[in-house]
Amino acid sequence: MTDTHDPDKPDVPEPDETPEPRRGQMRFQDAETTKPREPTLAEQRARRKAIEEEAERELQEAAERVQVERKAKTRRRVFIGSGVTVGVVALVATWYVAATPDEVTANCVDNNGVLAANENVCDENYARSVPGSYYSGGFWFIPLATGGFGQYQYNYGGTVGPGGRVTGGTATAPSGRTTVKTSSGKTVQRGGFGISSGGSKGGSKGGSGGS
Amino acid sequence: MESQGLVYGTPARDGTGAARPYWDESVHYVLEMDEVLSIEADVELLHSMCLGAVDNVVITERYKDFGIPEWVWPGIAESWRRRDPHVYGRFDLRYDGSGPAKLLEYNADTPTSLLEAAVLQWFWKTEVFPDDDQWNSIHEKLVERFTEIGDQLPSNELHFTWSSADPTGEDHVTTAYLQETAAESGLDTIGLAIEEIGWDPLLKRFVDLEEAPMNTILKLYPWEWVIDEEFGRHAVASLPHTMWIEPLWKMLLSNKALLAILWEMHPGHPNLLPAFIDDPGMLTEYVRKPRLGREGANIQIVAPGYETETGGVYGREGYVYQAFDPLPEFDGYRPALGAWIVGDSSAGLGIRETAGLVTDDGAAFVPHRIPQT
Repeated sequence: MTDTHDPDKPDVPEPDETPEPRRGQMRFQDAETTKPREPTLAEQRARRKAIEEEAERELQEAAERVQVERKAKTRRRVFIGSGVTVGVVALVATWYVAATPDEVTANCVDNNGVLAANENVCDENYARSVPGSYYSGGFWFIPLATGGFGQYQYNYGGTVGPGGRVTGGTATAPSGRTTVKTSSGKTVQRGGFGISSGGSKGGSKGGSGGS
Repeated sequence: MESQGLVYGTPARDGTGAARPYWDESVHYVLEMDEVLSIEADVELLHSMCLGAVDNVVITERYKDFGIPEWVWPGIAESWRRRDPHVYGRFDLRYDGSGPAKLLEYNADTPTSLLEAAVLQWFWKTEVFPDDDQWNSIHEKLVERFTEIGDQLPSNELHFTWSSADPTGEDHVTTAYLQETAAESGLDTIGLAIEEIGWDPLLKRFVDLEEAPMNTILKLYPWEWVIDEEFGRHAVASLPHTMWIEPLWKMLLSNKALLAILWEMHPGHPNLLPAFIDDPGMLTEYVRKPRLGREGANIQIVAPGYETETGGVYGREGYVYQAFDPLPEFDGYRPALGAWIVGDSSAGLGIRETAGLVTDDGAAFVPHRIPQT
């Protein structure tokens, strides 16, 4: 049809039978087989921007904290008559000055620097959900079945050696243009709705529908 | 019947507690056309009264009577002012063939028994009484409704979601059926369990398992559970960027406090039973219903000779008291009419029967027909 197109004739669709109404797609997704699609360009940009904004916000907050602490310190120091030194700014600066790699692996380690059996214990969402857990001094304290607590935190950028011992790296979360990946690679949170298997929320139920 | 998708059919119970098939076509109801027309008119009237009630509650900010947490109030008001599109609901009515139909309750958010009403009983009628009619245009109206609201949605793609924790499969089947009607209207649909919905904390949006954004989410999962869960605040904050169906304002309709509000606004209305919040008031014979109860759970009947109470896990959110008007009895069973509304028009009927006074999850679905005159 394109070959025999007559340039004098306006391009009007033929007045044939009414088009069949379009039927929409029906697809299903499940956790086993569905794989994330490639992020679109716009999404990659938006994500990077969001990360940058987050970093900026953190930086700003850190700067504000510095301000507050400095004020607190100056006030105290007025009495002891000493000069003002700022430590936190230096720390914040190291996040940016240090040549941070583009991607940093976070390993969940205990207070001896050994990989935790369950990497989720460093994940805030998970750790919070464990009854009796709490966060202190940069560590999540998770009650152990054998009594007492295990202490866990993420190590960023360390190297895993023999026996699961992680060397190098830092406990300070990197900021800026760095993507943090856990070994399971999660960046999207799931399970915030519904009844997760093994959960106790809502007790037994037979259907969420109406009465 | 299983070939048409009825995989759940939890066995119903008869008067002695013995098992009875959930789909029971050994009996059926016969309704006259004029009865149907009159109930149909009542249903549309009830629907408009309900919309009036939402407007009233939003204007007077009476959310407290509904036991809704305060942080959700602005979301409900905005959802109503925007007129976020609604799709369907089911009125449960008491009807004995003589007086006007009385509203027992309104399942406006997550109504079930949809497939039975829309499809199964239609096949039954076509096979057994091919010349008769049935009050049933549910399927066509759903397709029509999805066509209508298509323009108001953020995109042409809808995600349908149910809880995979429902062991009977009823929620999944119902959702898949809705998905089919939407697809028939030309929308692209994706089904996934609500447990699989992801939240992207950086881009602040819900994503499916492909990590693609979810623009419209049709949930067969009650709003009061959604807002109570970890992502609940994200769901409310995501409006109207992400459209949720049924809309958030339906929280005011799927709550039994609605019954009291309706009675307050229309005292003595022939389609209503007197109802009050938190206190039976002047009622001496009444039914106590939890504000957010489902499937006939935690219902208590206080009336001489009728004392009944059902168990369940509801009621923490308080109760509503409705005048007791027992369901009529036919051959030992008591039917409750489930009148479907799709969009703003009455769409069809499904009848559920119980041996007892409370239409609970032990009710059986019974088809109906309208004889040719």
